[in-house]
Amino acid sequence: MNEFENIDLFDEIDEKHIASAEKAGKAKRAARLFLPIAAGLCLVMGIGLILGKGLGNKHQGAHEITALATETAVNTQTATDVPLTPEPTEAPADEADKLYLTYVGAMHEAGTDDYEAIPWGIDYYMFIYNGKEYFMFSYLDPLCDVIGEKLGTVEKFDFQYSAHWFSDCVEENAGTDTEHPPYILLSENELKGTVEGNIYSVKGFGPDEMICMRLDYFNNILLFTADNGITDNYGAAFFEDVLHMSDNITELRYYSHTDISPRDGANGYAIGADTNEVGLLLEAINEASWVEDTRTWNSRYFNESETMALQEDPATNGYSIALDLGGSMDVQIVVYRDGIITIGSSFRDMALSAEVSKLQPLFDLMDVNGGRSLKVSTQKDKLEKCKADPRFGEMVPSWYPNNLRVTATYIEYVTDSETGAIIDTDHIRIDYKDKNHDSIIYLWIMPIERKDTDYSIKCAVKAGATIVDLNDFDTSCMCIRKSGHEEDPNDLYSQSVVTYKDAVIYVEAFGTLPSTVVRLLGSILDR
Amino acid sequence: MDDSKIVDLFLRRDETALKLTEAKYGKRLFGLASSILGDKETASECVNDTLLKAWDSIPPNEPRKFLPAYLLRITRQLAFDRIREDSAKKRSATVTELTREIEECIPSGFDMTEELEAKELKQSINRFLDKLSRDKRDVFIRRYWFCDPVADIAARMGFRESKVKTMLFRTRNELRSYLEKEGYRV
Repeated sequence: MNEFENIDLFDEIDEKHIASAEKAGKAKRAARLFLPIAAGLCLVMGIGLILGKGLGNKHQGAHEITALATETAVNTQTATDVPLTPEPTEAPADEADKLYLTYVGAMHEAGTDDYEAIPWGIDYYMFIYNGKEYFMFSYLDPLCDVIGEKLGTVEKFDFQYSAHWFSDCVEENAGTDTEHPPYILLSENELKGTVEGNIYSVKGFGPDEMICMRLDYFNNILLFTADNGITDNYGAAFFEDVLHMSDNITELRYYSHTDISPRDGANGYAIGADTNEVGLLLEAINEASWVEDTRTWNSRYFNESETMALQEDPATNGYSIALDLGGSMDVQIVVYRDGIITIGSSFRDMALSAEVSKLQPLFDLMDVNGGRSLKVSTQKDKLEKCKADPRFGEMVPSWYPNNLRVTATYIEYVTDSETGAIIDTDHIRIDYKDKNHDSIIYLWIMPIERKDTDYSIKCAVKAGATIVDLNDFDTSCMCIRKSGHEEDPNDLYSQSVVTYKDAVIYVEAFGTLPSTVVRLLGSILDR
Repeated sequence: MDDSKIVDLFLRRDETALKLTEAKYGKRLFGLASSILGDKETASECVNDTLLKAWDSIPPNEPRKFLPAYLLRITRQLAFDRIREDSAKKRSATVTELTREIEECIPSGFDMTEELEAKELKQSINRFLDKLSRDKRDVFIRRYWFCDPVADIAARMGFRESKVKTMLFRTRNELRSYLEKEGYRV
């Protein structure tokens, strides 16, 4: 046996052992780092909790001091002169009197394995800026004109060990009567590399009220609000003091019962902001108390089947509503018939409890589909938007196969790192699929100088590309091979790369004849 | 982003998956490749090749639960392939040293070309690792899978170097005994 064969013997070590060894030791270091800082800051856990006043009085059982929110601060770094991470010594003396919006993670779905201990949850972003904790409450289309001046840069979180932190804390609390350990758990999923980018002020709002980030990977703008927005009993503390809703609201949009995903929902309707129904809703929201509730999307108790049951029950079913603040900015809420109003995507376990009588006129209107019917944006419209793109629009194929339809389009933009303004198109992607997804074409249009482009070509060449003459394209290559999918090894798969003017068009096709792809690409020249 | 979502992007052939993977795990893959190859430039190429291989292998694979381990495994294989390919290249001291250590505890005259035999032996090693305490196992894997120098393991684990050396020595002996009980002649 030679020396490499010795090493090869360890090739197939169990992945769980590799993962464990990879993280080995870090948790101990993290704990050493965080504990003293945590003691200094004493952040309060549990959304909607206030020490000494307000909501806190209603939820005494949840008053718990937490350490882990501090981790967010510790692991949030800045590349600019704006200090995103407060030093522990800078923590105000009355820190414990303030509310910090965090959330209580799901704890006891934990198994014995650390990795199973990671609480589930949908994307949740929070960080500390200038000593204030901010959390995401909404996201916007990238074209929204909301970005103000640049405030700083948040670098990627490098906190990879919260699962271990979790297990340490469980051990520390073993044998106590605390049902859940007295700390917040921000899971690995939520912290690791999730928030990265420049932060900006939001036009019309002070940095103390709201800030935003542009996340290019996800092609949207995230809106963050500061913790001090909800330090009072009532909804007004957020909707008026932070969002200035009464002054800013332009219209209310709502969607059918069956769709609680507001932006994409069909059957949408709009009601003017100056109507009695909307006025009463705002009143109800402003006067409503914050309560713990498990209907929020990212609640630790959220359960899809329970939510569907609520929707099917005429006593509770709700409407998805977008409160439009102009400039394409909106705030998403779900209003239930029993008066519960959930907000956005990051108010964990927390909702408003509003007076039902004030909501009733709006329910009456929505139940008969009152208001202006909203035009539903079709994929065809989106394709037109791609064709209108100044940088790559002319590279969008004018033809695609009859058996396929456009199922998704994406335009990702390049933004100025200082101003956040869109300065160019990064790439366009169009997905074409048939009804059963047997035939799929993914098409990317990218700048020729992009590294991704090299990569795409490399992929095709590496996969054994055959040069196919596509006449007027500057260079082209296509490789055709069996897909290699176990379910259908005979399925056709091809990758094609052509360069045209200053762009590269890269196509991956599944279950589609190469001649179809050639025709699709050829139609670019017909335009 | 959640690993499962990244895997979804791979499955959808969305190149964002590569960006996210590189951003999230690039540094870790580079660390492993560097410690095996001892050469930053080659290690960097090795990371790129890892991404390519991940792109080619997801699908059909769907490593939702242990994506980093999946990627690290690819990096490790590619790094050793590089060393194999370039037999004239000087081996890194770490690799030479650790292969010598491994020799102490694996069956002599074992024929790795016999696929079934090799598979059985690898399974035995896994069963042995299952029985170890977490610290011991982590140290062992850091040494013989991640090819970490003893000093690095000591720093990472918060142990003295002598303790790491002792742990490794004992674990090698335990592996040797375990394999002998399983019918191998070490």
